[in-house]
Amino acid sequence: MAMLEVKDLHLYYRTSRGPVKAVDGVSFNLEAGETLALVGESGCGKTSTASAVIRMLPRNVHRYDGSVTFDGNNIMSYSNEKFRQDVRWKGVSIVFQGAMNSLSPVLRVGYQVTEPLTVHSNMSREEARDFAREALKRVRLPDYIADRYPHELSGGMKQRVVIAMALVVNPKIVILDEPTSALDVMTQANIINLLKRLRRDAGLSYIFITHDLALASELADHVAIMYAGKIVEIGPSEDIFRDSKHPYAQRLLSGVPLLRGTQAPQSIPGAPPDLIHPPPGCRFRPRCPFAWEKCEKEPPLEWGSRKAACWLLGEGEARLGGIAA
Amino acid sequence: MPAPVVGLRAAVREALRTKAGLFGFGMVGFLLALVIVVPVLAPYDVISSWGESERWSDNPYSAAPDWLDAFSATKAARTKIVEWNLLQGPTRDRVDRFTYSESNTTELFKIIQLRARWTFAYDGFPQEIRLQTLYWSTEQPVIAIEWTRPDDENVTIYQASPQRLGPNVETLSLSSMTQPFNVLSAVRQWAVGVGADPVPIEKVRPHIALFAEKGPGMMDPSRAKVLKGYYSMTITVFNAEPSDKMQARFTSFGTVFGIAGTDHLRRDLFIGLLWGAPVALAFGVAAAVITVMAQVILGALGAFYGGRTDEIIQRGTDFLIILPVLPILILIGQLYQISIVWTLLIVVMFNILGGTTKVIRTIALQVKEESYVETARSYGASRLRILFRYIMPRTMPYTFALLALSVPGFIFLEASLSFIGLGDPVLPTWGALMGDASRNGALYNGLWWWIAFPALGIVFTTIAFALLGYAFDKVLNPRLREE
Repeated sequence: MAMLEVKDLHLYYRTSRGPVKAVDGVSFNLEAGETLALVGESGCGKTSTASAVIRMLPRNVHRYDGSVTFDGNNIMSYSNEKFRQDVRWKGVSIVFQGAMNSLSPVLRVGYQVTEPLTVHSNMSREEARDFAREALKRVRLPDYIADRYPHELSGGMKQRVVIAMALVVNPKIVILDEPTSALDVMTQANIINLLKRLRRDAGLSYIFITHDLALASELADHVAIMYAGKIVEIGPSEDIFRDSKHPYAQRLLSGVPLLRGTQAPQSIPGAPPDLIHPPPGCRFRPRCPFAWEKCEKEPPLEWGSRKAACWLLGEGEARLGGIAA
Repeated sequence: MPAPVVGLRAAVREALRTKAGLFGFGMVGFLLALVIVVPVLAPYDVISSWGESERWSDNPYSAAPDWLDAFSATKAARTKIVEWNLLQGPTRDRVDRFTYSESNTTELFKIIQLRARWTFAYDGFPQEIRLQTLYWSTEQPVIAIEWTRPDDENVTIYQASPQRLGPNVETLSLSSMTQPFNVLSAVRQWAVGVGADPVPIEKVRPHIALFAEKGPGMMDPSRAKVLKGYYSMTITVFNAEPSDKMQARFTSFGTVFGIAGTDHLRRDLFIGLLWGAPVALAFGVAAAVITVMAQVILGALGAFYGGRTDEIIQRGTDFLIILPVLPILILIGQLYQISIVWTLLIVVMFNILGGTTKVIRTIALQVKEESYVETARSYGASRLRILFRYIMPRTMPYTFALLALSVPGFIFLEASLSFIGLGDPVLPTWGALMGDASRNGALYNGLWWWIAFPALGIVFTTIAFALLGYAFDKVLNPRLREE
C-alpha cells in the first residue's frame, strides 16, 4: 500500500465571482522513499494541492473533500486538533514557497529550527540547543549558525535552515514547494544534492512542487503534470520526460530553452483558463492544436499502462502521430 | 535603503545614536535617578504631612528661591532660628541655641535667663519675627524680653506675667498686632524716642523697626535701612519658683528660602517638586505601559483571529476613542475624592483600547501573512504561540515608540486633573502645585517660582519622553531614517 494515497481531492475557494476550482479531482499515490514532482504553470493548483493534503486552508474554503490516506489512515476524517497533533507533528512537513521569508527575523536560527519540536514537547532549553546543532549538521551548516539571526545568512543557508526545520520532527513525507525558486544555479544544485542525500539517509518521501522541469527530472521518480486544477499526465519520470503523451505536457517540456541546438523554445498560445469558469470537457481544449469533437467530453486519465488525460491516447493515437509527423 | 531594525536591543542602540535619543535617554535617566534619590532626600513622611501646617511653620511664606541673590547686588534675609529645648518642630542643623542660666536671688526665688546673640548681615529685612515660649510656672513670675542692637540700643519689647499656671505655651508673633501683648506699642515708643517719625500703631512693623538704622524713616518700610551687626535677645524670668522651667524658640523669617522657594502655607516647594517627579513618572509610565500593552495585545489579537473578534475590538476602539475621557474624569472627581491610584485605574479603563490598537492591528495584519507564520501553522504551533512568539515580537519596536510617545499625554492628564483640584488629595504633584499657585494668585503677586518650576518639571518630563519616542520613530520608520 502506498504511503500517501490521494483520491479525488477537491479544494475550491469562495470568491465574490464564484468558486475557484483550484484543486479539482486530483488523485495520486506516493510510495515510501519515492519522490513525486508536481509540475505545472503558475496558478494551476500545485500549491493548493499541497495545502489540501496537509489541511493548511485559508478562510474562504468553498469545497474541501476527497480522500487522503496516510499510512493507512484516512486523515481527512481527523479532527483539526488530531490532525495538528498527528499529521503535522510526525507525518508531513512542508517547506513553503519563498523559504527566504519562512524565518522570523526576530528569532535566532537555532531557536527556530527546533520550534516544531518544542511546540509539541516540553523540551528543555539545553536539549533543544543540542537538537538544533544536530539538525543544522544534517543540512551541512556549521554550529555557530544556531546563534545567528536570519538576516545574517545567505539565501542558500536560509534554505538549508528551513529544510532542517522541516526535518527536525523526523517526518515521513516532506512537501517541498518550489524550494529553490529564488536561488542561483549553483546553490540550487547544492540544495538538490542535499535533498537527495537526506532522502537516502532518512528514507524520506518528497512531494516536489516546481515549475522547473530540469530540477524535477533531477529529483523525481514520478512526475505529475498539472493543468487548471487537474493532473493531466502522471507517470514515472522516464516516461514523462522521454515520451509524454499529453499535448500540454509535450508543450511544457518543449518550452525549456536549450543552450545548443536550433530549436527555439515554444510557447503555448492563449492563457491558462479561468478557474472559476473552466472550459467544459478537456480544459486544455481551447489552447490545444489537436482539439477535435471528442474533447468536448472530459477525457479519462488512464489508458492502459500510461496515465494521460487525453482522447488522443485512445482512438486518436494514430491521429496524433499523423499530425506530429 | 537601510536594513530594517529588528529587536528591542538593536532599536535602543540605534535610538541612542540619534541626538534626540541621546537627550531623551539622558533626561529620562535623570528622572529615574531622582526617583531613587528622592525618598532619601525627602522621605515619605515629609510628603504625608504636606497638608499639615505645623510641619512647615519654620519656613517663611511665599519666599523666593535663595539662589536669586546671585543675580542681585543685595542679599536678602535668610531664616534664623534660635532655640532652647523647645519640643515643638523638627530639630534642624544650623539652629542656634540660647544660653541658659539660672541664678538664685533668695532661697525661694530664682532668675532664669535665656540669652542669644547672632549676626544679621543681610541687605533686606526679615519677613517677620516670632517667639514661641514654653513656661512651667507654679506662681506668677515676670517675664521680660530685651532686644539689643548693634548700635547698643536696648529695647524691652515685652514684659508680662503668664496668665495661667502650669505648663504654658505662648506663641508671640512679634510682627503681628493680633497678639494681646504690647510689643507694638513698646517698639513704637522706643523708636519715637530715638528719633523716628511716629506712625499709627497698626502700621508698626517690629521686624523692620528693630532691624533698622536709627532715623526718622526707621518705622517706614520704604525708607528704613538695615542695620547690620550682632543682635541679641535676652529672656529673663524674674521671681521664678525653684521648680519653674523655661523654654523658647525665636525665629526671624527670611524673605528667600531653599532651591525652589515656598508657597503661601510656608511649604518647601522643592520637596513638592522632588516628589512630583516620581509621582508623574510613575503615573505616566504605569498608565502608558498598561494601556499600550493592552492595546497592543488586543490589536494583534483582533488582527490574528479576525472575524467577529476583530470586529468587536475595532468597534470598541472606535467607541473609546470618541469618548471624552477628561470630562468624565472631572465628573468622577467632583463626585468622589479619588486618590491617584483610582485616577490611574479609571484612565487605564478608558484607554484599554485606542489608537495603538489600530496601529498594531495594521502591522499584525501584515505580519500574519508572512510565510514564517504559515510555516509555524504547518508544524502545528498553537494560535497563542504564533501570536506571542511570531507576531507580537515584530510589533515590539513600534510598541516601544508608541509607549514613549504616550507617556507625556498621561502626565499631562494627571497634571490637568490636579490643576483643577481633582487630583490626589494628599500628594503634592506638579499639577497640584500649579493649581494651588493659580488659586492663590501666584502670578498676580509675583510669585513666579511657584508656577514656573512645576511647569518646568512637566515640560522636562514630557520632552524627555517625546524625544525618546521621536528617536524610536526615526529608527523604526525607514522613511525617517538618516543615512
